[in-house]
Amino acid sequence: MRNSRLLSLKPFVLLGRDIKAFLLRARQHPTPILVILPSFLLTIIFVYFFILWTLTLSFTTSTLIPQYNWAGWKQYFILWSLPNWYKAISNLGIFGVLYIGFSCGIGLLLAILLDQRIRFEGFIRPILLYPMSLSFIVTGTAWKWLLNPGLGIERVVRNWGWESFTFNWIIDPDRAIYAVILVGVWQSTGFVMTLFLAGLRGIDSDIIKAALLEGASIYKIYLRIILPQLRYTLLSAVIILAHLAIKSYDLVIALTGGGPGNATELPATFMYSYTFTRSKMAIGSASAIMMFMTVVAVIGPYLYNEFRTKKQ
Amino acid sequence: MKKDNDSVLYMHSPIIRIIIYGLLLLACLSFLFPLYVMIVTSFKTLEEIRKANMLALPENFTLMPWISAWQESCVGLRCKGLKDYFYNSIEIVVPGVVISTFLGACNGYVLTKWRFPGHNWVFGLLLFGCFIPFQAILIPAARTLGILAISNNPIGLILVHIAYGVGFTTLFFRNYYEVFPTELVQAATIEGAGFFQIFFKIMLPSSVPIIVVCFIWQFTNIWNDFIFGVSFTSGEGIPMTVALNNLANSSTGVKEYNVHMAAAIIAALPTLLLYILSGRYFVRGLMAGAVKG
Amino acid sequence: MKDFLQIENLTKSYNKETILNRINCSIAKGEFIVLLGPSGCGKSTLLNCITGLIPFETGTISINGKEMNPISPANRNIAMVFQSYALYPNMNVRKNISFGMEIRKTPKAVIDQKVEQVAELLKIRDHLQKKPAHLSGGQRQRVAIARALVRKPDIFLFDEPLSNLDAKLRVNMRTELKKLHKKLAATIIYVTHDQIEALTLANRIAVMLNGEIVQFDTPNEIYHHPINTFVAKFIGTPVINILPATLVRKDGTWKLKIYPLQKNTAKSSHAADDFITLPIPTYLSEHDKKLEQIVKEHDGKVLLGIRPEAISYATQLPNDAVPATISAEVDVVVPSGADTFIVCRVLGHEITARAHSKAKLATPSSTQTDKTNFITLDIDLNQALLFNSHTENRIL
Ligand SMILES: Nc1ncnc2c1ncn2[C@@H]1O[C@H](COP(=O)(O)OP(=O)(O)O)[C@@H](O)[C@H]1O
Ligand SMILES: [Mg+2]
Repeated sequence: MRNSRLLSLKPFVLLGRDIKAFLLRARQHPTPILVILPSFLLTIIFVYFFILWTLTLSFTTSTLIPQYNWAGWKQYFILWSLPNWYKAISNLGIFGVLYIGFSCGIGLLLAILLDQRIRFEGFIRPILLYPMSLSFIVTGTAWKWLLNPGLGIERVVRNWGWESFTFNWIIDPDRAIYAVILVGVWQSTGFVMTLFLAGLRGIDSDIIKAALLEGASIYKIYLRIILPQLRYTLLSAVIILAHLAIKSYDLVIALTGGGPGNATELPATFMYSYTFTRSKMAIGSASAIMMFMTVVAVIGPYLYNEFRTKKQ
Repeated sequence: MKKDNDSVLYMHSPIIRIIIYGLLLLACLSFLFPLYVMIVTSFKTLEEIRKANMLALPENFTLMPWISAWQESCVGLRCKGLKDYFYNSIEIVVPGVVISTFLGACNGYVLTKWRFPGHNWVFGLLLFGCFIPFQAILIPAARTLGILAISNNPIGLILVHIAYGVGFTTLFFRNYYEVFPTELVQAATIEGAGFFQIFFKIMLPSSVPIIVVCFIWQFTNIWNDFIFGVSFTSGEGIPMTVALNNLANSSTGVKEYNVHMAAAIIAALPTLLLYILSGRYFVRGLMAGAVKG
Repeated sequence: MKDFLQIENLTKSYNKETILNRINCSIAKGEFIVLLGPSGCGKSTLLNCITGLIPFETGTISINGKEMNPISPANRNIAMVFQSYALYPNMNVRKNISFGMEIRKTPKAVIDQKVEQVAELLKIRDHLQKKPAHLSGGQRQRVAIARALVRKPDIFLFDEPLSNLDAKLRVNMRTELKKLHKKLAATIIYVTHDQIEALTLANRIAVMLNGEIVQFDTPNEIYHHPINTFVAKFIGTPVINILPATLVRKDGTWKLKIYPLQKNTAKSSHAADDFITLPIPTYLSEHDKKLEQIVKEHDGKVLLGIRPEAISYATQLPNDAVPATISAEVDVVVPSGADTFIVCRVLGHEITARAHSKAKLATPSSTQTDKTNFITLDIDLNQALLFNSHTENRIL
């Protein structure tokens, strides 16, 4: 018993020792520490202190301006009773799953296709990747025009002779979220493709030669040898896309403004509108904290793992 | 040594190769087609847009949408075009990029060549800052900028962009300097060079590739930022992305799609040019941001 | 079955740079062939051409009289062990070994039995469930060999399989490979840049340089009758001594003269007209015409190659030796177990000689640098080789 209690204290003992050693070093050789200090303080204030501040606000009754009165979990209860929030959460679910799924699927397919000794590879790659350099606002503005039922793609296809063609996702409350997904996938696929292509090129070609000599068909080799080795690349891609999905704000604003109605509401737009337009800062803060927790749940283990393996 | 695209494994069969090339062509077309539509639309008159096919080349080629977008279009109530907002963005981007890159270089240098007890904690805390959703700090940041009287001011945005960019720039430089031979630093130390001399005379001059990567990454992020711009600025102080959004989503008047497209291209141009001119570094930045911490 | 594997006129280039230039060779069934050459000379490329994994411009490869060019790598019945082992990282050892058989839809019972067999043979039974990442270098090596063995291929290709192992393990594995070859009577092509490995393992060695096979012969022949100075220098440690010499005929007998090294900086204690006269090897004495020709064409200039073991200090020369003695100035003494090698100078030329490790030698000590230390060496000219001074090819 005693032993296990002692063990559980170990991290703190270590931290204490670290701090002591740090202070000693700071006295003896302060320059490096002074150089990194501004960035460190900036991060401590702008990241950690601000998050605590938001956390505090979420436990108050702040509306237009912050108030520091204790309201307990009240705002969280309100938040979770709002249909709008449910809409935002379920949209995030749909958006997240399909956006990540399609980006990864198409990205992987394109990477495999590009890895077939394609003659114009150097020409094709930049074409697939350029959307990543655009702002979501630009992408949204452009696609809003393309998806415009009266003037955009719908009319083009109808002009071609398919009179009954309808492609009005952007104004259809049931489908608008899919329009957002489409555009999101268009923007990120090239990036995922680049990740997978690097992964494919990183595989030891001797392994593939060995499999070829054993008589494995190209499909077998992809299925049993290459794809299993791409799982960490896939993990990175999923993490990054999930992170983008949770943060995504600009794309929805530029494309649909969260509408029609609340059809494309996402937590990010929810937080913004409750905080800045509806003057319900405390609820906005509570939703921000929920988003933060989700990101921590997704990124945290990944970062921790990366950090640990790196140290070894 | 190994050429990029000579993978051992590839499909030989001519039919399959035709299909592969077909699929890739399709992919290229669908990636290029929005850009194409944006460009042709920006040279059409509104009348032509309403009448003719979106894909058609402009019949009455006109530069008016561009001129209008640049100096006449209305953002909110102000009808002086986007040019002032374009300058706003530049005013924010340039110092933001330079300062955050420089800080990143310093931090990377310290975290690899001048490690102190607890350096991993410091790096971990900086790195985690890259991944937070900005919504979680939006309200305190707005309040703080207000208290410091730098909201709706380029300085406020520059500060914010530095604060949330320094994690990434530190990551870039740390990973780069990690494999930079420590023997060089030791040799210089033996010859009597100090902390700053080693940094400015040895490390920085051999960091050009990572400086370019970092520069492109930060430029793209800051130029394309929307949420900080829309939260911390208003009126004449807004950056380009916010102005574009306000222009394209204004609920009053006729929707001038040609002007919107011209405006969107103007907003996209700096990052797009950067990408075209230095795509290789752009990709490296993306990869560095994506893989390994 | 002299021509089990036959390669004719094989040429391969990358980006217009010729990597393999008109390779010709034929290999008998059951032979252990070593491809030996410096890094980058095209050994791996040649192996990859034999497997069919990379295309080449011209030439044919046939196995058992059957042309292989149109046959896919999978159907050539060739197994290869890669330098990096190329184990599938996502499969455990058992899967790694059985993968090829699964592809060929071998019945499960047969697979299990064969895996057991090779695992037994290569002593990896305890590791069958482990992933490659959890194995040591030697174990990975065994798994890679097991994977190749289990298929009972016509030809085994090994691409520098031991170069990632530590020195001791390398020697052990070398012995085991040799045993394995004996046991299985397999046809093996083995690539290495390590000449000791080549000398110990091969039935025949093909020495490669710049994409060409320079000499293809038994280890003994290659060691004693290298075709040119490149091969002579590549094989044998310490490296063969090569000295410029001049053939002269004096009173009807041929002699070799060695002049001092012409070097401005050499603090030579010899006068310019100082020289050493040596007898010629017996095997040359009947070739008057050839020697005459050299005198005519090159003023008698040749390159004299003598391996360190033919220059000895305080040891007995063989009975059939053509002896000579020279005096040399000792530079360094390098003990290496049974033998001690002496690096010394003869008229300014650096040469290495061999002494028995028990021979008493006064090493020049650092405190008396100005005092030179001369010793007398016995040379067996019968073991000497003469090379053309221009082409560097061996004369006779
Ligand atoms: N895929 C390739 N593309 C271009 N050059 C190559 C390729 N593979 C090998 N080479 C070149 O061919 C030469 C021989 O290589 P290799 O056969 O691997 O040599 P080694 O004898 O060390 O095994 C080298 O100069 C190498 O640079
Ligand atoms: Mg090789």
